[in-house]
Amino acid sequence: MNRNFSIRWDKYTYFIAWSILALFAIVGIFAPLIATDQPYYIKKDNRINWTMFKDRVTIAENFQNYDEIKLAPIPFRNEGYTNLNERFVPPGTKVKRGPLELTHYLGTDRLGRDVAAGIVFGCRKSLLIAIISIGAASFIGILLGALAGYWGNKLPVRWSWSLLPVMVLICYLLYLIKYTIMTVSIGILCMIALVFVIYFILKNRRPSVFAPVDQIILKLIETFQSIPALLLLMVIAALIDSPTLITLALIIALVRWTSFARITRAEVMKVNAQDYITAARVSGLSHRKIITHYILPETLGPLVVVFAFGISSVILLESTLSFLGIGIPIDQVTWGTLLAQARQSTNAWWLALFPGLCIMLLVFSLNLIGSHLKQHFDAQD
Amino acid sequence: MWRFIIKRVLLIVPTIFLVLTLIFIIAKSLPGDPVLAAMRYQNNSMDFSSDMIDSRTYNIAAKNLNLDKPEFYFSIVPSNFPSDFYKLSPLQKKFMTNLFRQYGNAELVFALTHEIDEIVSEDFSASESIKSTFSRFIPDLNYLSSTIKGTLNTSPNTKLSQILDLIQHLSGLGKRNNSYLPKIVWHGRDNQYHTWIRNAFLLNLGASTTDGQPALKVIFSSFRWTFIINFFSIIIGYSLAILIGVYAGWNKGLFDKISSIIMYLIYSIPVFWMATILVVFFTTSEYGSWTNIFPSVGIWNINSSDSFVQMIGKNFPLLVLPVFILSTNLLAFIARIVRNSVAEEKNKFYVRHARTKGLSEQYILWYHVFRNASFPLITLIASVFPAALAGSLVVEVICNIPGTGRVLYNAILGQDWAIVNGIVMIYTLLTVTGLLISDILYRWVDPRLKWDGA
Repeated sequence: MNRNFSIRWDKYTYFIAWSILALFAIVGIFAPLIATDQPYYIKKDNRINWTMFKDRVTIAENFQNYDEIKLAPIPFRNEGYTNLNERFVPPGTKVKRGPLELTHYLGTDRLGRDVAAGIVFGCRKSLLIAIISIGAASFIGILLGALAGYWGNKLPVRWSWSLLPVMVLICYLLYLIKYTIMTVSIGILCMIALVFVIYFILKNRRPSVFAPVDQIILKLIETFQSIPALLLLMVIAALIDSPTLITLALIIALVRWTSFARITRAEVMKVNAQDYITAARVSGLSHRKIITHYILPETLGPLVVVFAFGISSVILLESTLSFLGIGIPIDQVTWGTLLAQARQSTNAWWLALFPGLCIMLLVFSLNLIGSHLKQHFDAQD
Repeated sequence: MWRFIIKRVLLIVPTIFLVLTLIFIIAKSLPGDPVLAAMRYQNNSMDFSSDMIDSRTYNIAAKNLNLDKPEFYFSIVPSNFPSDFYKLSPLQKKFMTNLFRQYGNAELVFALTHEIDEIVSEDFSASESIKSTFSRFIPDLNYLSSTIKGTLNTSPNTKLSQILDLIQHLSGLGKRNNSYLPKIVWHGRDNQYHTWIRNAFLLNLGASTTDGQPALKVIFSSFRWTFIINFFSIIIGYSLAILIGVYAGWNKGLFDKISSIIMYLIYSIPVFWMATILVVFFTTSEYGSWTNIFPSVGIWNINSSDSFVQMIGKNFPLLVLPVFILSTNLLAFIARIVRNSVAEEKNKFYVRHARTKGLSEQYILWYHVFRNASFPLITLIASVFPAALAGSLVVEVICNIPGTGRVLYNAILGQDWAIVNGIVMIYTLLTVTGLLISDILYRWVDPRLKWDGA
């Protein structure tokens, strides 16, 4: 086995992974154009009627006489209708819609909805949830990680008694907005603040002391990691009154931010020890500018790896949750809910096969891209 | 060494305390009410909204769930609010704070809330229409007084006219006498947070709200099944992963490339998909006679007089499928780690040195390289176990095994919070212990690490 082959193989798999990802991204972005029961246009007496862009000029059967009709690749809607005559139709079945004959390429589910359309929109939802939740998670994680990595245990805090009235004022404003504030979190915050005040007073009577941000953030990360992610997610998702896709994404972000914080902290610490950062500090740049202009761009490489693995894990978590039927609105069609239907009716093999295949391919491509990126950045070091 | 271990063991306590506090804060700040959810579940209807609930019914339901106590040691309310404000149902709280914002005068507002609540909850001889109007607690005094007047015209009633007087008095006050001073109401130790922490440390998990069994007993009798499945799958997964990973890492080449792609593919298969596929296609003969490979899923053969070992013996064929699924997933994860670790060790100088000494390749591989490459493996054992427990949840649900995962799933669907809390606590404890063990093993396996650095 020569080295040439090895490099070519890696390039080849990398290319395949990126093409799978690009395919899913395109399907996700253009989902409303790919799977819709509105015809693109209807040609009649040499006049083209662009029905696509009109509100709900629906199903082709309304148009009895036409010269030419252009339908979407998957001429079915995915949600908001049931067709009990076409329950569990196997893939490739042709159905009549007025003068037209349409095909359910991947069959239908237990409400007679087209599975192909469900998969196309499920792709959109999965990617949307993944992007929102990884966006939120990376925001929290990078912020806290950079804070911990840059300052270590030495965040200078100029404690003075004038801070106390400010804190009280903020609490009071919160109280005025909502007469009964969340007592638990405020109470625990007050307790923590009290501990800090006592710590500051005991440790050092000088006006300027150091806050151990690194210790605090590390402890926070450890606390979050001590609860199994799927368990925490299930419990939180079950507690929410009226779940939406956005709340699902946000609670996934709540358990996913720790990996971003850990990596950012480690990388910022590494960069922070370099000479050019000291030089920047000596030349009088502000801390904010040093962090955003000199440190964070350097940590971007390892973070991209975490992004790739993070997105794949969010897709897995989301589909697991929707498979179990927890934390997702009942009327939503996702890959997970399609798979869950296969459990109830074992003879509908197409429901078991296709959505899972999509999850697997997407997660596979993301994992492969992640590992390639990791190799690339490790080699650079 | 012992100082380090004792220090780390003692550090578990604050971690558990923090985790419990975190769970409590998250649960309390979510936009949902477990009491209402439980009532909805018991009334067995999805459109059972918070509209039709008086404080009495709410308080009884809350008492069943041990949620009738104040949330924390103290609460902050406006200074003329009653100190048992926390006892009101969420809807009434909203009603009262809204009226308070408009008219001030907390005493009158509270009296009005109380009167209306009485009408809604008691067998009051008013018409159903006025009851349903009241039970929605709309914070609009004009609307309320007009409906009362409408009812009074047809049937005079002393109670309703009292309420009307109260409303007119309140709206006649005109000027707001809002109290801008907050008051801290001290509730003492009898609060939800204190009870939560205390019960967790005493392992006093209470009784399941659905069948009244002690939660600890339910959890432990189900934990046996989870443990058995995970034990077998970890052993099988580890041994296969070591074989494949070592071979791929040592003899790089086509096998390495192909096996790593296959491992990535297997790793990307969601556990629930693999389980669904196997259950759908390979437990029935619907898709051809050869597809009936595995027995149909579920532990049915449970005789309460049997011992656990007997139960396992009877149900052994049924455990094959879940163990197969879990070990495949684990295999893909661990094989990659072994492969990378062996590939890294292979290029080190001691391997070249051993070769120049004339040792055989097999000897170098298993006695030198594998030893060093197994560091990450040994430390992984501790953290894999809690992760596998959570991972087996879906498999238990699909394969119908009465393990902790399925118990948790049913408890979440059935709003049985005693069991949910218990399982979360125990899994947290297991994870923390796992991290501790992996920390200790890490230092024990690798003598280069110092014991004193925590």
